Parts: sequence; structure tokens; C-alpha cells
Amino acid sequence: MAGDPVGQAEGEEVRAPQLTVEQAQELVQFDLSMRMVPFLDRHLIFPVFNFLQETGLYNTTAIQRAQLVLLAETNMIDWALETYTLIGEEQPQELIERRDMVLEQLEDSRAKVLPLLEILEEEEKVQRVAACKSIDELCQTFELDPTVIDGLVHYAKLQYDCGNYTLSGELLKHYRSMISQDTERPVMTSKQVSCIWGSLASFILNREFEEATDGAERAADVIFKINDFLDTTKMSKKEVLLQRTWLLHWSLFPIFTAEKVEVKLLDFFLNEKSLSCISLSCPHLFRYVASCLILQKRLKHLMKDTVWIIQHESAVYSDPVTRFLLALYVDMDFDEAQLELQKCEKVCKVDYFLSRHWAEFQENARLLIFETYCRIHQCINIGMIATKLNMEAEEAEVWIVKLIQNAKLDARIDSEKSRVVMSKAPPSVYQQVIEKTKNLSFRSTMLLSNLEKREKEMRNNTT
Amino acid sequence: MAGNKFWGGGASSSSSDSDSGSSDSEEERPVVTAAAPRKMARWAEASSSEDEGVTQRRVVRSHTDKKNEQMLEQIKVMKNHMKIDDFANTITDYETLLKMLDKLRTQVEADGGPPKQFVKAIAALEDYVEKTHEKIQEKKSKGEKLPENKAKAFNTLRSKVKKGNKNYQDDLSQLRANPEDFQSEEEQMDSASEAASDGAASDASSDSSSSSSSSDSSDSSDSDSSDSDSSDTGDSDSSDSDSESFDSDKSGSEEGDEDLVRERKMLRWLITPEKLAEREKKAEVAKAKEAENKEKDQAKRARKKDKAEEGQKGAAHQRKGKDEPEEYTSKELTTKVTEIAQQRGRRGFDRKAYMEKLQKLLVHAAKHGPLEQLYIYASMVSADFDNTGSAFAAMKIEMWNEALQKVNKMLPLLIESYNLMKSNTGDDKAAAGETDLEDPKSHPRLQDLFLSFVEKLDDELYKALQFNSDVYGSEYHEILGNSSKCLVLLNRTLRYFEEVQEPQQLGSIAARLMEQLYYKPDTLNQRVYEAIPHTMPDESKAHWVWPDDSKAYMGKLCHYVWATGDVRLRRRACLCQAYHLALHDCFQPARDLLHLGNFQEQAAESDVHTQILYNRVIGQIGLSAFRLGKITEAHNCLMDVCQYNKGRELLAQGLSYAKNMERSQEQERAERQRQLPYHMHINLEVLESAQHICAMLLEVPNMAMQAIDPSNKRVISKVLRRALEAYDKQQYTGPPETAKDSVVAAAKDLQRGDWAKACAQLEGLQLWHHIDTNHPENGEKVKAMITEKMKVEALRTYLFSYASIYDAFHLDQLVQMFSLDERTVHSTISKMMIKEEITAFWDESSKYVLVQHVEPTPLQRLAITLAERAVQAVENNERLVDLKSGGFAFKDGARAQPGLATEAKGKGRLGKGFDMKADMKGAKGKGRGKGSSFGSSTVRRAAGWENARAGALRGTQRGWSTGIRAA
Repeated sequence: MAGDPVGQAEGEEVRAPQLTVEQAQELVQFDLSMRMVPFLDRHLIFPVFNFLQETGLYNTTAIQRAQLVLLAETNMIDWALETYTLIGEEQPQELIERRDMVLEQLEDSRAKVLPLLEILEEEEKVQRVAACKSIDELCQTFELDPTVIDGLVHYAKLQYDCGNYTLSGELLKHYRSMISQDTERPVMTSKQVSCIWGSLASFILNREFEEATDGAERAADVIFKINDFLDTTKMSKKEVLLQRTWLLHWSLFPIFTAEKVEVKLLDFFLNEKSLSCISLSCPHLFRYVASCLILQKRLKHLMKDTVWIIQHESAVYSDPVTRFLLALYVDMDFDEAQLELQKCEKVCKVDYFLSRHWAEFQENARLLIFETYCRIHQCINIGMIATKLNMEAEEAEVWIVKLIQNAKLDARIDSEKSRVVMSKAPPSVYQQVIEKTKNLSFRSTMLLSNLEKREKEMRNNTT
Repeated sequence: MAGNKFWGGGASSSSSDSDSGSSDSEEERPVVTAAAPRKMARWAEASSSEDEGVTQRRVVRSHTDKKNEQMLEQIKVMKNHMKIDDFANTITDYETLLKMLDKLRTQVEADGGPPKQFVKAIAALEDYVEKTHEKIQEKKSKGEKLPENKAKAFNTLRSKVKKGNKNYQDDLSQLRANPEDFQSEEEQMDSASEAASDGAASDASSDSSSSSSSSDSSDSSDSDSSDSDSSDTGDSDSSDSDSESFDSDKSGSEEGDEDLVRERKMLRWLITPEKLAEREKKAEVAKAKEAENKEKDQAKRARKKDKAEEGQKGAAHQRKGKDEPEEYTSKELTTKVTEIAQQRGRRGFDRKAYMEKLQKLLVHAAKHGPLEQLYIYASMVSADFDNTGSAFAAMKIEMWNEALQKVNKMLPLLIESYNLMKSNTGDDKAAAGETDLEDPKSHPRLQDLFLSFVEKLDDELYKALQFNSDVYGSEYHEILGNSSKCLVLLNRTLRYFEEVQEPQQLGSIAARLMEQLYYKPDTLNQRVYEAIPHTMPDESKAHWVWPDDSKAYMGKLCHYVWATGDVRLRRRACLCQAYHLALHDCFQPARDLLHLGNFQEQAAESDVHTQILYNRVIGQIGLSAFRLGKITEAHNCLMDVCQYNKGRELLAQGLSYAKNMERSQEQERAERQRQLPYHMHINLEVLESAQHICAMLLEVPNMAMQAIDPSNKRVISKVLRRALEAYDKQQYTGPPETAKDSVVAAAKDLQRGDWAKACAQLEGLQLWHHIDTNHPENGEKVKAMITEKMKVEALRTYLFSYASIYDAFHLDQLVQMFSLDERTVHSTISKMMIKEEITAFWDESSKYVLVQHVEPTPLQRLAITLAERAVQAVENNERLVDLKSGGFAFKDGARAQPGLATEAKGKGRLGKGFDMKADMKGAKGKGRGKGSSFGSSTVRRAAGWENARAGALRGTQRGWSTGIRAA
């Protein structure tokens, strides 16, 4: 994968349009793109670059140059040519020549798979394709050359390289469904693996994250598929680790750029295996782990353990986001947390994935501070909490009222003294006992059913 | 008489020791002539072997002598049996004889061959068997037959003799060639005469003047026997005193002595007619001695003069004898070297002469390229290593240095030959590959040989340090000083192999180098590297800069080792690297390295030395964690090493001294053999003090917490608890004597919340000076850090102990009491509140801690305990099912119920996720009753997480420390 282009961009950092050098330098230290790029696909880097260009963190031409390096390996020659004119350099002749070549290749490839494409155009035939049990059968029914099927992949790749992500994704989907029907090939071949990665990239670039009604595939599904594959594969440990690292990086796109994050995806991102992967090969992802914890309220149950891990790895990676969590949950230092939260704004500003979430981030972070604060205080001065949360007193009061209304907070406001009084009662012993034993029966049932399942299996095996 | 005793002790054991002794003494020659006239006595005795023989016989009857006698006895018995044609008994006799010889093997080897009597006996037996066989055949042809059992016995005898005698074929043929050699020893076991004749025989043959030798040897033995006769008359005392006075004479005229010594030395290797005359003269002198003491001096002088003349002649003769061709072809040279090399291990082998011969050939070899020279050097170095077989005795450091010099000379030659080979292989690579295998002089073979020499040198040096008991003595320091030479050699070799790009050899050298470097802190290595270039030529000085980033350097070496694929080397290399990292305060990387490599499991299945290394790494990691203030981690590591007073044994820094444990000799030997040299030791006192301090910081608040919440029974450090109990039992507590006492006293103060006194107790510990070997001045910083920690823990202990008595604390009051800053106090108390260790809240201004007094009633407490037990029971059941079904029983369940965090236990990819599950459950528990267990669950969780990554450090040592003992 492409590693160096950003290096150039960093090297040639010049004053950006709306930022002073000092500001830019301060912000650059929060920019992770440098460390992320090695794990991303070429095409996935373009949105990141576009974003960087918008922030004005780096010199525009530097980024464009880096983009050119990226483009050199793709077939998006028109774009490359445009970029050359943008930075005011002459368009190299060989590029223009290559353009014709690429077009030719595309034509060739298209010609090869044309019969298949025609079949796929028609709804009715697609259904007949779906009915076929194997590739051979498929070829016989439609009188196709078996090589055409493989040609489809090639064609899809070419289209992808040209930036036609929709078409490429569509083609790969067809190919994968054809192959997966093939009962003779139960194991994933390396070709299928690269296909599945290809589909994931296409989905991401097409932004097909949303819940589809008709059960069509989405990015998340593909991610789980790859995850399952990596669980069972027989590749070397190192290879698995590398692919897992890719997967984690790629999954940032659906997690942070989609409108609605899927629960399962978050579980995947924060599960034990992913976390150990992150601490092994890409500790910078802890920023996103921390962000997930802050942004997603329903992850509260994971908070303690995950924060513990973040603390454990703090020597390897630490930035304002993780430090905020550490200050809040490990050191109980609210002033420090507040300071870090202010820095987080800068982080979010230059982070492709977090930039659009800043408002939400801030809101949630404040809530976390407030919650923790409430837990250890009997009564709270509104004025003080306002300063701690970086708000006006009035604003804070309204905010707290809302909280109380939403039953998130068990408290009353004493407006005369302008303070919040926690109605704190130690959890009653009865409550505790109930809580402790609540899920015991469920767990016992689970245990029983598991035992039964196992027994059944054993009986099946013996008979 | 000291000199005399010296020889008497040394030479009595074997007849030919006088030979080897003299060769030794020749090496010492320059020393002797230079200074110590007293030592001259040795010379006199060494050469006048007749005296020696006499004294030996009188003074000591050694084990071997006894054995020899027994053998003679046996031979006699056998002869008798032969006479009466008792084949069956002869067989047993023959076999016992062989067995006896086997027992005498050490001596036989020293002699270079079996005793003459034995050879004679078996020769006679062989003859007898052949004759009998002929007879039987004859009889057979006549129609007569032996009784069946007899015939059978004879056949067995015949085959046995044939088979047995094959081993002594050389000796037998020698016997047949000149039976006179064996004649004189019919009845006597006089070692002196034997030695003389032996020396004569072997030397004569090598000088290829056998005609003279036969007569001469018989003569000499004659003279010797006459000598011994004379001594038998009982005048050995006088002869001793004679030699004494003889010495004093010599010390008077030093110049003459030197001549004498040199000439004598030569004489030992030359049996010339002159020598015969001399021997006769000697005999005469001896007689004269008996007759008249006064004449003796004169006679001796005369003899000396004679000898001087003879010596010159002898030297001349020797020169003539060595009249070698001026030029050798390559092939001739090889055969010549091989021939010389074959002398090694033979009887009467003399290292010095051997070296000289090879040295001479070296000049010729230089004309034929590096390979020839290498070959000769290799033969020389092998000879150097000859006497270093024992596992408990290291090579003498002088010998070591000699060998080192030669090996050092080999290296440039090797480079030269490599360059040659590289230029040659271009055209006929395949051909070269084929011939390489057979040719003993091929480059790869010599390279391997060189490598093994380097390794052997390293081993010997290690051994020398290992078995030097006086670690403060100058000898130890001298040897240690030599290690820098070894370092030079290893470094140069490493560069060579880097250039040659042979991963296998490179790896093994890199591993050696790592073992030399890993335990030294940067400052030390740097100084060594600065000192080395003073002895080096200019061009190589550039290599002797200790890298700034020594960890990267170690990493590079480690990569070299990894390339070899040797599991043991890899493990050791990684462990060395981890040790080095830990030594330089890189706790995290060191720990990760251990975890990711899964070394804890690997260590259990590797050899004892690697296990020891692993222990050292754990200890060092513990110390680095301590320096960095990671008290929990430090405690876990250090406890593993120090627990049960096993530190000494686990780190191989001294024999374990368990009272009630019997060790067999082998076990003790094995244990001695794995001891580390003193300079590699980790300071045990530091280790233990650090462990105790960690234990104190963790256990004291824990104990205070348990006082309020009896349901929490977690024990962090048994050692400290026991010590505290013992402290309480004392009637009168005196001032602390040991480091441990100080810590216990400090813990006692800490329990009262008196941090200042506790810190004062720790003030005087040695620990602070030695905790950071790299920068001793950092000790103060560590001390300050520990003091801070102690304040915090004192605060926590205070709150635990007295919160129930107070209604509120003021922040300022606490700040003052513990002289901590406000922020720390606030943060500490907040943490305790969040973890629900104390039931208290801050007031509005965050200045007052308001304590809430709600203690559950005993019934409530019991109810909670019951609930907890129920949870535990279910957990245990789950765990059981998990175990039975391979740990996946809840995987599906967990997926289906993502909210149920307790069961999301997904197996850690790199380790076991098992502990994790249980610990997470513990962490999940909410409410006050359970609150107190929060601290515990987080710590245990710590282990869980580490488990998930690769496996925790703790809880493993115990298992394999017993493994060591069994091994």
C-alpha cells in the first residue's frame, strides 16, 4: 500500500492559507494520516487527502504532489492530468500516452466479458445465474467460456482503478455470489479474498453504509465476513495480524463517516481481539477507540476495561483524546480533563474521521465529566460546574435541568443557593443482592442448554 | 625440599609424567632462569630421573600402581592357566585383564599405550593360541579330537583373542619388531627406567635412527636398573640431599645453569651416543657418591662440563636432523602437517616441540596462500585446547591468551581466503562445491573450525570466571580484563561474517556477543569500548564506539540470531534483549517482548540455563518497573523471583542451602555448573529490598481496607504479612538490622499513618545506591518517588483506618498531614470514592470530605456474601463446561447477548482469555458490599489483560523452579 506520499507532504510543509505556522505545527502533531496511510488502500487515501486540503494544514501543492504519486499507480489519469495543471506543471507526455493504453485495456477487457455482462444486465437471467450450482453448470447454461468469469474480476479491478467504484462493486458482488454458489470450492482462495477486499473498498468509497432494506450487502457485512475469514484462515500469524490491522483501519470509515453506526460494528471494533491487535500493530487507533467510548453512550459498560487498556498502553500512544479519558477515569483530575477536552477540539479539527463529530464529542465528554463529578460530590455549585464544563452558568443550569428531566440524573436544583443537590442514597443492600443474583438464572439456563447441545452433538457423533 | 616434594607428588602417579612434567617445565623456563633459583631444584630432579624414581617408590604407592600390580598378578595367573591348557579359565583371565586395562585407561592414555607387561602377555597368549590351534589341527588330521566342551572353549578363546588383540595391534607389532624393548621390565615396575626407555624409543623412532636406539635403550635401562639397585640399598635420603646441595651449587653460578638447563632440555629429546656416555658417567658419579662425598662436587663439575659440550653437539645434531627441504609443494606441506598433527594425543607428545615444528612450516605455508596457513593454525589451536576437557576446570589464562593470539591471526587469513574464493568461484562454482566436502583445507571447513575456536575461547573464559572462587582476588580481575580481548575477537568475527553473509555463523556469533554485552549497563559498555581502541591499530578504531542507541544495536544482533532459526539461540537472544531493555528502564518494551514471544511458556520447556536467563530477565524487569514507579508490576515480577527465599537458586547466584534437602553429588555438580560468574550477578539485596518495599506499599493499605470490610480476604504479600506478625510478637523490638527489618519497621509506621518515620526507616538502605546501575545518581530520584508513593499510601491507610471515626476531613488538613499537594490528595480521595472503597463525598467546594456512616448489619453482610457465593458457584459451573467443551461453550451465547459483558470472553488471540472472563465479572459487580473488592479485581484484571496479550508473568515460576531441581 502507499506509504510515502504523505511523507512528502509533511516534508514540504509550508504555511497554509488560513493558519499561521505555529498553529499548523501545533495541529500537525495531532494528525494521524501519516501513520494511517500505510494501512489504507490507495483509493481510500483520496478522501483523507481532500480533507487535509480543506483543513489547510499542509501546503496545497504539497498535497497535490502527494496525490500525483498516488495517482501514478491508478488509472485515474484524467484526474492526474488535471492535478498537473493545478500545480502549474506541464502534463507529462507518457501520461497522455498511458491514457490511451488504459482506455484500450478497458475496451479489451470489456469485450472479453461482454457476454457475461449482457447476462447480468437482464433481471431474469440473473435469477437463472443464481440457480446454477457450479461454475461449470453456469458456463454450460449460458454457453460461456470459463475464463470469462475470471475476466470479470479483471474488468472489475480495471474499473476500480479508474474510479468507477459503483460498477466495480456491482461486478464484484456478482462474481462473489457466483463463486460462493460453487459448492465445489468451499475454501476461500486468495483470489476470493482479494475480491472481498475489493468489494469492501468499493462499498466504502460509494458510502454504502446505510441499512439496506432489501438485505443487500453493506460494508459492515463485508467487514464481518473478512473478520470471520481471518478467524478461521490458516495464514501465518503475521499475515493475519497485518490483514486485521487493515480491516480495523478500513472499518473506521463506516464507523465514523456513516450517519448511523451499527452496533455490531462497534462491538467488533472494541472487542478484545481488535484491541490487542491495535496495541500490537497500530496503537494510534486508540484515539478512535477512545472516541468511540466517548461518542457512543451505550458503550458505558466497556468504559472501565477499555480505559484500563488505554492506560496500559499509554506509554506507546497518547493524545488528548486518550488523555482526557485517563484524566477523568484514572486520575480523577477534572481540571486536567477539562484542559484535555479543549485540546481535543484541535484534534477533531484535523482528523478526517472525527471532524464532523466535534459537537457530539464535546457534549458527551461534558456529560461524562459531569457524571463522574456527581458521583463524588454531595452538592454542586452550578457556577463551578459551569466553569468546569466550559459553559455559561445559565447554559449550564438549562443543561442540568434537561439532564434531570431526562432522568439521567438523580438530583434537584436549589436555585436559591444556585446549586445542585444530589439525592444520594447508598444503594440498599436488598438492591445489591437483587442485582447480583439477577442474571444467575439466565446464566444457568444458558449453561444447561449448552450442555444439552453438547450432549446432542456427542450422541450424533456416536450414531 | 619443596621442589622435590612437588615432583614427588606430581610424578608418582604415572611413569611418563616425568615426560609431560618436563615439557611443562620447559614452558616455564624463561621464568625460572630469570628469577627463582629455588625453583632450579625442579630442574635437577626432573632430569635426574633416577632420583625421582627412587623417591616415588618409597613415598607413595598410588592407586594406579596398585592396579598395575594387580595386573601383573593376573598375567601370572593367566600364564599358569595357559600352561595347563585350561581354555575356559584363560578366557576369563583374558577378559579380566582387558577390564583392568580399561580401568587404567587414564593412565594408559597418558602413557600413550598399554603397559609393556600387558602387551607381552597378550602377545604370548596370541602365540599360544596359534600354536594350540595348529596342534589341534594336526591332531584333527590324525583323527584325534578334543572333548567337545574344551573345543568350544578354545574356539571362543581364539576368537576373543583375535578380536581383543586387534586394539593393540600397533603395540604388538612393535613388540615383535624389537622384543628387547620389553625385555628388561619383566619383573619390575620401576617407572623411571620405563620412562627413559619409552622416551628413548619414541624419540629414536622419530629421529629415524633405530639402530642406535635399540642398543641405547637397552643400555639406558641397564644403567637405570643399576641406579635403582643402588637406591635399593637404602641411600635415597642421601641422594636427595645430594641433589639439594647440587642445586645450591648451581644457584651459585647462574650462567652455567642456563646452559645446563638448555642443554638438558635438548638432551631429553635427543638420545645420542653422547648421552649414553653421559649416562654411564652418571652411574659412575652415583657410585662415586656412595664411595666418597667429598669428591662429588668435582665430579659434578666435570659432568657439567661434559654435558655442556654434549649439549652443543646435540644442538648441532638436531639442526642436522631437521635438515628439511627448502621448498614444499602444497600437497607435501599438507601431508607433513597432517603427519605432525597426528602426533597429538600420542605418547610423549610435546606441545612445545609440536608448536615449533608447525611454526617452521608456517613460513613455507605463507607461500601457498591463506588456506595452508589457516590449516596449520587450526592444528596449533586444537593442540592448545587439548587439555581443557573438564567441565569444572577452565583453561589456564596464559594458554587461553596463546590460543587467542593464534585465533586472532587466523581471522585476516580467513578474510584473505574468502576474497580469493570469491574471485575464483566465478568460473567453477560447482566444482568448488564438490571438492569442498572432502578437502580438509577447504574454506568452509576452516571457517567452521575457526568459528568453533572462537566459541571455545568464549566458553573457556566464561568457565574461568565461573569457577574462580575468589571473586575479589586479582586473578578474577585479570580474567575479567581478558574478556575485552574476547570482545574484540567476537566483534571482528561478527564483522567478517556480516561481510561474508553467512546467516548461520553470523547468528551464532551475534548470540555470543549478546551474551557478553547484555547484562552490562550502557555506561560500562561505553567505557569498555573507549578503552579497547588504545590497544588497536588506527584503522579499526572507528568500530569501537558504543552505539548511542544500544537497544537498537541489541535489536540488530537479535535479528541476526533470528535468521539462524535455532530455537534455543533465538530464545536466548530475545531474553538477552529484554534484559538489556529492562536494564535501561525500558520496562514496557521489555515486557512486551516477553509477552509477545510467549516466553513464559517457552521458558518452561527450555533448558535450565535459558530458564535462569528468563528468571534474570524477570528480576531485571521488576527492578526497572520499580525504578519507574510501577509498583504493582514490580511486585509481581519481583515476587516471582524472590518468593520462598529461592532467589539465589533461581538466579543461579549461589547454591541453595535448604536445610532438609538432600542432594546427590550429581545434582550438586549440575548446580555448580550453572552458577553465573560473579560479575553477572543481580544484586540480591537490592532485589529483595525492592520487593519488600513494593509489598509494603501495596499491602499496608490493603490490610487497612480489610479491617473495615472483613469479606475481603485478599493477600498481596504473604512474606510481609508474616514478617509483620513476627514483629508484633516480639517483646522488645530492637533497631532494624537487615534491609528486610527496616522495611518491616517502615510498614509498621505506615500502618499508623506516620509516613515521615517510615521514610526515615528506609533512608539508610543500600538499595538506593544500587537500584540504577547505569546512573547511580538516579537513586535519589527513585527514593523521592518512593517517598511520594509512601505519602499517598499513608493517606489511604489513614482514611481507611479512621474514616469511621470522623464525620468530615478538611482537604487542607490532609494536605498538611501528608505534605502532599492538594491535587494529589483530591485525586487520591476521589479515586477511593469512585471505587467505593470509602463511602464519602466531597462537599460543594471540594474542600471537605464528608464521610457517610452506613455500615451494613451483619445479616445484610451475610446476605451479600451469600449472593456472591451463588454467583461464584454459577461461574465455576460455567468454567467447568468451558473446560470440557474446549472453552467455546459461551462464544455463541456472548454474540447473541452483546449487552452481557460478563460473558463476552472471546479467546484472546495471543493468549488465554480465560482469566479475563472471571476478572471482568469481578469488576462488574456494583454496590457497596462488593465495592471493596474493586481494588482487587482491577489488579487481577491486570493479569487478565496481560494474559490476553500473551500470558502473565506471575504464577509460573514456582512450577518450574521445581523443574530446575529435578533437572
